[in-house]
Amino acid sequence: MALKSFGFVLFITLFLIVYFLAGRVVPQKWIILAFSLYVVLRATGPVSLAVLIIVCVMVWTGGRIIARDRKSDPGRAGLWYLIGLVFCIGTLLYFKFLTPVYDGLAAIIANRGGVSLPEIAAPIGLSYYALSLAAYLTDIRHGKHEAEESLPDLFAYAMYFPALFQGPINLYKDLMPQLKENHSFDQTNLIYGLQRLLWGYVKKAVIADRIGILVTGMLGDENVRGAALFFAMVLYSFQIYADFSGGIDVIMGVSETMGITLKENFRAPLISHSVTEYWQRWHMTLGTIMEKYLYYPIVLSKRMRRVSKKIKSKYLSRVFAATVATFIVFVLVGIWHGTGWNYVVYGLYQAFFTSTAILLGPVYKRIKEILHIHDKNPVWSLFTILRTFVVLTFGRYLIRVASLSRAGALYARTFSFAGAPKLSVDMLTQWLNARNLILMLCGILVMIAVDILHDRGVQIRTTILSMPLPVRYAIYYAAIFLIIICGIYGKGYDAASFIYEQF
Amino acid sequence: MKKENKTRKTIKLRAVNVSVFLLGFVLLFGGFQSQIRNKWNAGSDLRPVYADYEQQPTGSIDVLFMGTSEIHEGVSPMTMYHENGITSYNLATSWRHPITTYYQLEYALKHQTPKLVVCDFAALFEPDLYDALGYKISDTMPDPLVRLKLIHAICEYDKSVDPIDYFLPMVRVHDMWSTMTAADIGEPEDNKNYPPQFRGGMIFMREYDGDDDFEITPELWTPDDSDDTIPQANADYYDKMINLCRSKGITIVMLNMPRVEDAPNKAATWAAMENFFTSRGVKIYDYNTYEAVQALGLDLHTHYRDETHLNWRGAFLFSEHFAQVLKADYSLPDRRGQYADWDKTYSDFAAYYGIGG
Repeated sequence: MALKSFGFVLFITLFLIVYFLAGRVVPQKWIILAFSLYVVLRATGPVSLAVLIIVCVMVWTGGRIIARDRKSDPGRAGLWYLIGLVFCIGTLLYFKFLTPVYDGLAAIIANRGGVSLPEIAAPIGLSYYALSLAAYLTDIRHGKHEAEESLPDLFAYAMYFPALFQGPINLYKDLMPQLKENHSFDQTNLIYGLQRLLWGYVKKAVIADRIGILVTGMLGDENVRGAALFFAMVLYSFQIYADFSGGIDVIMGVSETMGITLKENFRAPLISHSVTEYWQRWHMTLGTIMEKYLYYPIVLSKRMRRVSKKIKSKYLSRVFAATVATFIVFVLVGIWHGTGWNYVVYGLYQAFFTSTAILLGPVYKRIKEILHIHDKNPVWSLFTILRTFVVLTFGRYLIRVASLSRAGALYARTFSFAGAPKLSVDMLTQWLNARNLILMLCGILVMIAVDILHDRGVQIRTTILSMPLPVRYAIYYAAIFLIIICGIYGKGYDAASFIYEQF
Repeated sequence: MKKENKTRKTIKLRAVNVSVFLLGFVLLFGGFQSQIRNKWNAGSDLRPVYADYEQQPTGSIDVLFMGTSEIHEGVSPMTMYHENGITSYNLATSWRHPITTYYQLEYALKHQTPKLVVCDFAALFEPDLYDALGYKISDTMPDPLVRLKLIHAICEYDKSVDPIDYFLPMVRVHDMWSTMTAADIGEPEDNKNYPPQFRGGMIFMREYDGDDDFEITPELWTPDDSDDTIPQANADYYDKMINLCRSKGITIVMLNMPRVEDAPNKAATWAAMENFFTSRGVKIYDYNTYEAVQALGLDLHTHYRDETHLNWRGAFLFSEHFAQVLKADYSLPDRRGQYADWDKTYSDFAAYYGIGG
């Protein structure tokens, strides 16, 4: 059941009816858990569900032992912390890297006339809840909160089904209290939630997947080279943002209708002025996890401070730890996205620009002073936005394809100018006709405009709610019919799943 | 108390708002759907034809024609009535698949019990059920139960089909909105040009516009390497058609129209087809041979609109001949003068085509 499907819409409708009606007699967290179990079973099967249950049980057990023995028996607490991490992060690493080993073993056993080992699909949402549970254990170890007493409650938290599809990554302290409360039906929540859900589907079905047709066509045509190929990758940048943020909007919208507020995952990342700022605005919940549980522990660790002290340069000793931590974090971010060397290089690419900004910070500041450049100058601001966008677009070559060699080939095609056909409307209409191109362009502009407005504090949803009823209804009808009439779905198109569902 | 009243008022107002929103959505959705669904890319709208068919007095139709566009454009019930008094109805449609033909037949036989059903077997080897054909037959099917069964059968036949596309035609628009023109909204052009009350079918007044180098020669029927395997699902549905007719005491026969375009294919698959139907005791009228085309006096540039379909001259010629054959073979009654409406309709028909009354 994909996020973008009639089946999901029907599923959510049924869920909300049960959630509010049965929620009057049954704690709503059990209803969420029941539907979550169904989602996991349906998406990846009973064996994957069993894996998820085992991980949750071990994390729950480990959490309780850590909380109990944290002060009295730190060795035992530390051991169970490791065991818990092995189960959640280890499971993630297994499905990322080691499934070929299992598949090979299964083939050997089957060939020798033995029992067929069951196929084990990666549990849906593994990349997201593995980090959530690891963060949960770490927070208990550091005394940030107590362990969850109820195993079913922990299941409900880990398997919170809206987030299984593509996040966001929810911290225990943020989500669990909301799950433990019962939420009565609230019209405002419903309207805001449905607004957000609609906007998410517009971004995904109308904008992202439409761009995807053009991007796939252009990248698949060896004749498309030079500026035209770079243009395709520019479009891919918009596609991946519309796709990922659209999916998150659907998830946030569903949660909002339930009365549950999740942490935002995006804050207008496409108008970032630097790579550093971009990662503060893009996939923010992953950023929070990485910052809180990796970056700061590395920077503030005794070992790092000892090494930093040995550096003679005062400035470099200050930034050394931050630079090393940045590289480690971004390499792991890259690997989180995928298992190939291209993802590792992607991480290094991001780390390079972020670290350069750290290391050369004073130099940049001095240059701007000399040239009288102010950050708030509109021309400078636009320049930095475009510069950042171009840098990030070049980085996305590495995650658009399956391997480093293919990324290399794409780069080579981009810089192959001799005889490259000019980018033109005629070229683009090979894959999308004129009406679709116009709709795609309008969609991108609207998406950017909405982001800019949000970034400036304009609450569009509140503004819509304050409009006269006929105007509001006209906007809703327009969005719904835009999705129905112009959405990319169904037999006529590939059922393109959300890009981030694969992670 | 005041607070309770206020709460009740708020709930009522919310209920009204939601109802208005849903009603507006249903009206918009239904309104769009009723206009846009006509783009089937598979010929004319069958709804006016079915409406006319259902108006025919019970027992007034002696011959029912089913099948594909060769019959749809090549058999003129009005000609068969005027020359031989045979009352027939032409429910053949452009494109074909045994599934759609079967369910059309099931619908048709709920309203009439003809003595004879004449069907072509052009669909016997057809592997693909084109979406447009499935949509057209489903969207226009007046009988909801038959429509449900048809949709179920299509989904069983092709697992990639999403039944939502059949129950909510509006959602198909996403596949075609960017190529739609004004002609795709509202009544199909063919409907405007051809009245449905000529007892179905669609006889075009068009001159030949096919390949000028194409010639009807004996060598045209040299078999090519076409596969003569009959897909099991197709065979099953033809069997269903045969059994349905026989269960109602109706004789079913197969008609092979003089479709010269795929003569090599026909020659290659003839043995398999003949075996299929003769083993089931179904008579075949085969006009797709060089000798038959010559005997009928059919000329490509005079009687055809392309290598597949007869034009109005060809349809009248063929219908007159075939009516005599059927009358002789099945002792069909001469119904001339029995139904005033048929005589009136023929007058309109004659005026439409500029032929003697």
